[in-house]
Amino acid sequence: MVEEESVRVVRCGGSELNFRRAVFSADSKYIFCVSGDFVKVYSTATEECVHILQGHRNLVTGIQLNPNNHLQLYSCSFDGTIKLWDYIDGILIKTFIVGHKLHAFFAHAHAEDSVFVIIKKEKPDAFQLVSVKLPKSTSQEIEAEELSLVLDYINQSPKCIAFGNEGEYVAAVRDFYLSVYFFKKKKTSRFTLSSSRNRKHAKNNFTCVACHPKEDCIATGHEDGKIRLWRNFDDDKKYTYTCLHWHHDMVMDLAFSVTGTSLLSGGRESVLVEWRDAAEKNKEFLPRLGATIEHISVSPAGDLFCTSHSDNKIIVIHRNLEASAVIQGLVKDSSILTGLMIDPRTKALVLNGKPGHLQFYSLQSDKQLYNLDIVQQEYINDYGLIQIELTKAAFGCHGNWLATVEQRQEKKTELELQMKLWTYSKKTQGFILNTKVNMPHEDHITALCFCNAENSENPTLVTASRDGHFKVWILTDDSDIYKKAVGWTCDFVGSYHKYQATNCCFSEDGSLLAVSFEEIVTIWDSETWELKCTFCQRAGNIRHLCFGRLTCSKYLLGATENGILCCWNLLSCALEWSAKLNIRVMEPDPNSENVAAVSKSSVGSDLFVFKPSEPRPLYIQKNICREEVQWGVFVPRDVPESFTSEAYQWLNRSQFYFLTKSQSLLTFSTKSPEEKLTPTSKQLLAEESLPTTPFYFILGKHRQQQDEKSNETLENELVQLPLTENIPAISELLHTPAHVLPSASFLCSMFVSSLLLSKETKSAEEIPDDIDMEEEKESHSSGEENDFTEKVEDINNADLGEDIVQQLSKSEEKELRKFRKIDYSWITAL
Amino acid sequence: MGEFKVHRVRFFNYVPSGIRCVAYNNQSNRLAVSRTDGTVEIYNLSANYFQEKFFPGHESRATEALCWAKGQRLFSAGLNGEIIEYDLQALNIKYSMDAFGGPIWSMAASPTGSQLLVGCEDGSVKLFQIIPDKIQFERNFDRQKSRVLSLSWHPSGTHIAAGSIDYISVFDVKSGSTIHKMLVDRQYMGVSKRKCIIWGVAFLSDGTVVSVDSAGKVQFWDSATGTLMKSHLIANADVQSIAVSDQEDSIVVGTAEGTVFHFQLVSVTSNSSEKQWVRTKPFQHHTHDVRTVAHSPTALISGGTDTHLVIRPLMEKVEVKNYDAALRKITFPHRRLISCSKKKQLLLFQFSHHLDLWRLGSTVATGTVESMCLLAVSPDGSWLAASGTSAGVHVYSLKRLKLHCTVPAYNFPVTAMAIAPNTNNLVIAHSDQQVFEYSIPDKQYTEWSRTVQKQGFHHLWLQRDTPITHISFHPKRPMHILLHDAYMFCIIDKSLPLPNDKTLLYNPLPPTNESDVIRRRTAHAFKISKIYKPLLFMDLLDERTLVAVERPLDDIIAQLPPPIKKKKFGT
Repeated sequence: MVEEESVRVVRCGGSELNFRRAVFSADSKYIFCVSGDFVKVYSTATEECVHILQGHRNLVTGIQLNPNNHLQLYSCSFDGTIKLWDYIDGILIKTFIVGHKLHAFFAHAHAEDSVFVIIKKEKPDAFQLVSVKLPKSTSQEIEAEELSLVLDYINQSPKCIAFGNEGEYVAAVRDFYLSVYFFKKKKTSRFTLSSSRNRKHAKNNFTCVACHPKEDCIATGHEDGKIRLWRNFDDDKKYTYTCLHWHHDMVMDLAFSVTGTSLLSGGRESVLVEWRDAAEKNKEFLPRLGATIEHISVSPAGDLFCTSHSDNKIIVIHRNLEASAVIQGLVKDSSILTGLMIDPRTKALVLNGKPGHLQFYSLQSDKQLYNLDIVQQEYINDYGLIQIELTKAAFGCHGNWLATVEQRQEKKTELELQMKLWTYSKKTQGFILNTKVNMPHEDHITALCFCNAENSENPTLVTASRDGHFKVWILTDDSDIYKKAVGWTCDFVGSYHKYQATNCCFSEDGSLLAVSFEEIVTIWDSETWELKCTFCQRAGNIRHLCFGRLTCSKYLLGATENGILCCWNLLSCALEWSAKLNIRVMEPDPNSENVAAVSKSSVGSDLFVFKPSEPRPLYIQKNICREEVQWGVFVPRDVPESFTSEAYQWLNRSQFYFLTKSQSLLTFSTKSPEEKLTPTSKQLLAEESLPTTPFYFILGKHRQQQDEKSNETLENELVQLPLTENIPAISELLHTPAHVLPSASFLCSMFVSSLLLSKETKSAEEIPDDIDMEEEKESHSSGEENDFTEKVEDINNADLGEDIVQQLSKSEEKELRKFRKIDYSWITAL
Repeated sequence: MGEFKVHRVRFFNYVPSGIRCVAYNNQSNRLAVSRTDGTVEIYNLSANYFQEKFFPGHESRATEALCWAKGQRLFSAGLNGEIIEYDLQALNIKYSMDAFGGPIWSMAASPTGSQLLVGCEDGSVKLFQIIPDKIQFERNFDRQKSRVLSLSWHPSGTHIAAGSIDYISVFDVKSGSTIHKMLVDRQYMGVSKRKCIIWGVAFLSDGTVVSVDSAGKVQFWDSATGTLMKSHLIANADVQSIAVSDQEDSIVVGTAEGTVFHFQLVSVTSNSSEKQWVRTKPFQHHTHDVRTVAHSPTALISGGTDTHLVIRPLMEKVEVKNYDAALRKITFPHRRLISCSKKKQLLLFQFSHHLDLWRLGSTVATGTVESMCLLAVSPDGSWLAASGTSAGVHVYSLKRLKLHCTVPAYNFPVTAMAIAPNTNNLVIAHSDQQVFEYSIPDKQYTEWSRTVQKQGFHHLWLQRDTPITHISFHPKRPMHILLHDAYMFCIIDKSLPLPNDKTLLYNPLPPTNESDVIRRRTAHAFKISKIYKPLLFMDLLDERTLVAVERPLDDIIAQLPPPIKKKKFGT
């Protein structure tokens, strides 16, 4: 086991997939997208992550295929390097050290050994497009310091730069002007939208630009939703443009199809618009894409498009405008109000997702598992609308119940509150709405907690509200006359001197309920709902409240707004200890006595891990991040670690994840990042990357038929079926990673035919026999095949019948197995 | 300046007629405009777009086509089946001649200007020879099945394209036979039972025929093979008009939705010679059908049912970005349509076919038919100033009945003139917004006029769109000249200093809170009021009473047929 390595804060997935345009591989089989410090390679067919290209030490800001070798990928990063990857094997080929912080990357085939990057000038908000000469060298790390300025004072976003007509010119937009730099003439033309018009509709500034692949035509998107197509821009005077207007809001991105016959545009309407022949009347739509389209890219083969959305989603779209795959990351669109939770069933991280949704996110695979629509209302995407917000959620009874609270407040006095209770249905493998409570409280609900005791026979839920009450909800079965259905009803309403209830918490065994009323903590007996005792420290309102666990279950912890952490002994009803700590997040570990607390200091956030029984912390890490930490959660480990060092023992059984204000999900890890990620299958079959040309189809089919023919002549003799484990088709099916498997329909025929008895195949095989006889002669290319067919003939001639099976040699058996792998789908085609 | 009682007259129920055809003459830089009531107007684009000539129309003479021929000859043809030639000197109709083919829908003069082609209701295309004083029928071309709605000559004069219903035919001029018949889809995509009317064709020198039709398409055909090369669907309604620039690098089309589209020939890439027609900018300056368009070297000219004549300069063709580069919208005639009798308090309104006489305060209407010209009589009846179309002003003595003097010639036509009551000074306004004062007794310009010319007018004054249509004088204050155009009313006080370019020309409404000193310091000769617009007439009835005749544009629009309904986003 890794020992005594220092604990580091690492970013763990959930990074933005939509930060930059996604890039397709030349054969459209893979799609690349930047994801934090990594580049991820996804399969366009199966949506599965195939590779993670890691090596950059900061945010990756640009990727592009090597225009001279489409099996290589360039990437650039804030760490000042350009890296060249072999994406099929996931190998870093070269690193070019530029030294500046690189904001975007461009390359095209006609710029020989130069690439283009956006760097920042000394002045704020001023960026430059520079060309970088990549020196030719065999070494792994090369310094590339030969920079030459192309365009000055540009927008930092790569959407605002486009290269056109095989790199003859580059177009850049910023604010109200479009500048075009011609490489041959070394001349910049600048076109400004007239200022008088700017006053009238102040929103016609440029947002993005794209260049026609074949013609001298530049498309620009504008904030007022217009698309302008510029032509004749090599003449400062005779330039002209056409307007296309469909979007009512800002055009977020534009892309031309590979042939240039259609233009794609997208924006906040979440509709992909395809303009055919650049004609205003001739357009096609793909609506209801779910969220704002941030980027659009087109595959070099021209068969696929892809859109990146603001909800961290990439949709792969077929040429005929049908969505074919969705790659969904952690949604970071809205503010997180529910905090971080762990679904006890799937061990997925649960938090706010799309507006009105709860997302279930797998930490292991960095993938969204599913979305649960809580609000169940159509989301209207418009500025200034007050939406229904999902504010609280809690899991209870080992994930059997889910409670959610949603609210909408237009004015101070008009609060709309709704509490929903969801039950897990084994049949549908999802949550089903059980009870809906309108206005469970008069005012905002501040806390929600289930009684999660092992032996509690009746599910119990407690809600605390600012209206001064806490309510106990229990599951009853009297909601219909047959007493079949169950529902939740209010069982008890408690209050304490009209103070606002701010927190509630059940003890581990469920016998006690702690409810904090502003500065006072009250302890209630969960059997009789009578007030047992109160604690008051007069140190500000209680912000966090939690019971100790296991051996420390006699302690109650409370953190106040004035920066005091108190620990009360429930047996003696007295303050055990207190410490001065400005706590932002306090989370108990469900698997141990440990409690993690994150405090905010002037320079950042500090982490303290302690046991309630003793005031001395087990572990302190200062400055875990520079921002304020908003939420944290302990995630139980699947396989416990075994750190012997006392400082790291708290990480043995659970892992602590936390979310900062800028919504980056971080955790503590001791492993190096290379080890941390589970190695996905590194080998991608080389054949797979070969393009499927019509030529391939002819040749490939021919070879298949030939092989099958000889295979079946063998199989004629086979009557006895081998054991299922030995059927190669099955073993192959089970051992191949899912993302490299062909489609199920393809496998099915192969699977079924491998189980077929040979007598049935006889009739089917007679037809190809005749056809292939002549072809066979010309195509005996490999010697091995030759030998084999001869052998087959020998067997046939010998006419030994059934007992030949036992007499097959080992090598023959191997051959036989090899031919089993071939699919028989051609039979259906006959 | 004093306060006036104002008769604000809005009962002048004048509705200009919709524009049917425009024809641009490149040599003289003049534009002929015909309206639906048969009126033909000639605009001089060099003289600040001034409407210098005017042929009153007649109900029986609805023009459908208008064209210029060799030697500045103007022809029109209409649904009464006659071809009319206008006498541009005498301002009357020289002759009219029946083409014997039923109503004439289209007419085109050959590129050399020596032949005239008309397309008739019965499907015939007739060729006329233009001879010095007449036109002479030469022959018929192959007869078509339906009416010929549009005609265009190939620039070499060897072929013509004729747009009919559902098809375009290409004729050989020598033989008069049809070479190709190009069938037009009734709709861009899908089927429609409505016939597709070819509203306009244009024959380019490379053999391309451009057609516009009622299905909203602009189509490019190859006349050599008779095949469709490119189709642009630009409107949901008819595309009604087309015009090509002389260089054949730009096409303008007008649609029934009121939009004017510009097509340009641009090279596909900067280093290839391949060029393609690209739709570039749309211009929405009209509310109704754009019935006709013209392409001058520097501007797109369009007119239609909404009665506006719009001249949209092309920015890339304008060398200096001065006021000529601005959009012009001409709605009202550049003449005075209203006369006023001061003593009897009567207003005489001139309509296209009748006159209205109104007494202020009562409603009496009488009608006669009359034409008018630019004359000014001195109030004492001893002088008469007359201005022809050739910009010279002659002053005649009415007592001796002979020419007294001639005002020195000026390049720009006279838009208005008047003789001051006591001093007998002739005040002349020209289309370039210059104002002169000429003393008739002294036969020379007055001192004030000389100082004005020396100092020059304020640049904003010179940039006004519309010409001054009326000049009058204050009976008690001889230093005041009252004049107005369609958008402002001005009193020039000759006693006050002239404004220079730095001073504010249009001073805001009476500055009550400012002290007298500032007011006196900023005071200048031009007192301008823009309260009344569009102002058709303004005069003093007596010392304290003004009469102002307005014709709000909304009232005109209300009387026009409803425009094509278009869905507007967000409504």
